[in-house]
Amino acid sequence: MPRRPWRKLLWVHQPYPDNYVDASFLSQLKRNLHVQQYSFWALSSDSTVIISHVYSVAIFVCVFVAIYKDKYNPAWFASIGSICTLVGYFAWDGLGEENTTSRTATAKSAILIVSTLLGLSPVLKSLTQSTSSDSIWAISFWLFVLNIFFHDYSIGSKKTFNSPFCQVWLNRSSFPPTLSTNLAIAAATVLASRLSTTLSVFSFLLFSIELFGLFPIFSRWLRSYSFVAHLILTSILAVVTEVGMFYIGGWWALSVWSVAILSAVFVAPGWLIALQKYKNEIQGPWDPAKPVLRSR
Amino acid sequence: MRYNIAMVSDFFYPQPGGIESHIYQLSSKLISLGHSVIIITHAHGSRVGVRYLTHGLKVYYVPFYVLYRESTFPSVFSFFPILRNILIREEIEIVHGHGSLSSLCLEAILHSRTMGLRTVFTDHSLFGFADPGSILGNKLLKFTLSDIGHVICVSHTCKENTVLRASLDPVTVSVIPNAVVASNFRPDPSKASSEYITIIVISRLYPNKGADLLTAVIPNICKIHPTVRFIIAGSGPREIDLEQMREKFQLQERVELVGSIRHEDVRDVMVKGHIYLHPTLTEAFGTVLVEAASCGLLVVTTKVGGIPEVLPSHMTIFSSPSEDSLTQSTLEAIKLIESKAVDTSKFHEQVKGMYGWHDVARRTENVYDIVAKIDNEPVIDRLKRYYGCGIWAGKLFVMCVVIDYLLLRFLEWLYPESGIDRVRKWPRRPIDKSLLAGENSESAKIESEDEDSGLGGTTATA
Repeated sequence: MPRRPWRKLLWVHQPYPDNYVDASFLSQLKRNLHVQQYSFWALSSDSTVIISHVYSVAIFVCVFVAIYKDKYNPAWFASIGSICTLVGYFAWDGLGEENTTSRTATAKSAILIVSTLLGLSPVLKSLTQSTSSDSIWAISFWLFVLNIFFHDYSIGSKKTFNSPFCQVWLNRSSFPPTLSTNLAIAAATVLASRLSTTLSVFSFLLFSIELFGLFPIFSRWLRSYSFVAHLILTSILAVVTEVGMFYIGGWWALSVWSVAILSAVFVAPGWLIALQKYKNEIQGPWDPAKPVLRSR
Repeated sequence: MRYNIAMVSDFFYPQPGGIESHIYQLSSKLISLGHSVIIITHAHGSRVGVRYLTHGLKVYYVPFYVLYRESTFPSVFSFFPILRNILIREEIEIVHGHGSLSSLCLEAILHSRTMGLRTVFTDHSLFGFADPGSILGNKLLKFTLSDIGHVICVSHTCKENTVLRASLDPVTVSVIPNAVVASNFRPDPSKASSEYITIIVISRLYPNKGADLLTAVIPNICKIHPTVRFIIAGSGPREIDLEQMREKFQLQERVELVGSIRHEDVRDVMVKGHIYLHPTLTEAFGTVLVEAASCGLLVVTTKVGGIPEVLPSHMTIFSSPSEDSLTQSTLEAIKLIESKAVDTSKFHEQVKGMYGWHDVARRTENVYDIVAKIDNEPVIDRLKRYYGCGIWAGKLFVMCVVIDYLLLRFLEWLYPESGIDRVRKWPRRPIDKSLLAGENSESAKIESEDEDSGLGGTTATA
């Protein structure tokens, strides 16, 4: 009597050993079913979102070094920052962003913050007098690293990027956006406490609030408004940063910085795409099913 | 050939569960086949030391720190001294671990191999490959199973999953399903209402058990069929959703939530119903489906994991894991019951022939025969197996195994084998030949049964 073909059933006792391996073994295995293909230029342009924030941090560090070495009048930076902030505010206000707060209220809170800073500056100046400078450099470095990692790179509800990388990033960013702002302000506060005069502390903190509190709102809005405008802004930031790098570290700093940025924009996406060949996602009947529910 | 077997798992009575009852039933049936079986598990509260269960089944409750959901702290080596003592005391030849989340079981397999004993591992559940927990768990499983004698899986799907997770040769993996004690799940048609169709759900109310699907399906069915009632047993985080659904659609009269019940009471709940609904999203075997069919219930289930292998098509209505499909399948089942197109009264006898613990024990015995024939390879070959586990993990695992060998040498010096008392074995009962013969004839009948022959479960052609 010929043997019946083996069937993938448990309730029927089949004339096969328990460790029998049928030809159909693992036939339901599927690989890389949901893997999305990345495009180089989409990844590259998305990387500018992160790069532009790194630029802000770099500009901030340059400004600190400039003030710390007493090379420049700190009021200059505060003034330039404030002018840029005003320009940005009117652009944001004028181009039809729906505002929840009135202009008077905004002006009031701005004045309040500036006067608070003015009052606190002498206190902040002596905040870390008993701490060595090395500790301050170390703590501010780690705070900035964390700030870059936890920064909210999403663009809000208006428009989303089509590239998968940003989608993944958006889905993962479950930490509150205020976290990165707080980290940056903390870093600015400890750095400010190294400065020598009350005026420089005040100017530096004002600049930091403009750069880390207000500028991200503006750049996020600009990105959702037009991606080309975002690229233009990033280019301006790039030029400013490179000039700053050159002033604080000379040709050497400038070249290292440029190589790092270029590799982040052009090499890293290529690397990510090259690594895709190692992707090995396995799907099969053992995976938990996704329930399909009618929305009500 | 009679063996001295040690079952090792974190999961054993007094805590309830599927693996727990599997170990108990399998052990007691192995004892009645003439083997000597002990069980090693961690202490539960004040239950520490040696206890005896029926037929001289001895349980060692080893004091260990319980980390998470009844799993002990994975300490890798700390279990070795006491394990070695027990294994030598009991003259164990085969160590049989259960449950891939049980660190006690994984450690025992590692140390037993170091001691040169034969090992068997039974996997009871399915795992994915993507989430961090699974990745870590799979790596540990691969480590432990690199040098295993034989693996048992409860379903063919489970076998595929385990082979992939632990990179095993599929020939070293046997499929032996769970079983039910059919006499504990006898149907009782007098308990079921004749006015209403009652649908039973017995499931822990977790998202992966399909609690959300259940919450969505109940109002749909109640709306279409005014004579349908639900009895839902089980608790969990989604219980509150069910209660809210019941209030929202005013189904308090028709949807009964009885909370979690003990396994002994499952049958009493089941016999009140006509249909068993199983909305789960993942399942390795689904013992509860067999229990429901044994109680004479028509089974409606999602077609996931190993479920399609478990019951013949005339006992089950399969659906995809979607709200609409599950509603349709349940309505179909209600129609079948109402029109009496399906004869559920024969289910019990049929299930009794399909799944029995004697059959499981005999098939497990075959696995023991296989591992008893495997010769121990030199240490260096054993290390080579572990080395192949991964670039970094391989080296780490080899280090662990080498330390394990050194620890064994140290223990041999500290507690010499000659200084460990051997226990007297529980007096053996003669094997009940008539019982075994009965099982044989039943399985022969089933062997010739065809899946698509509908109710032809009793036609014997062999």
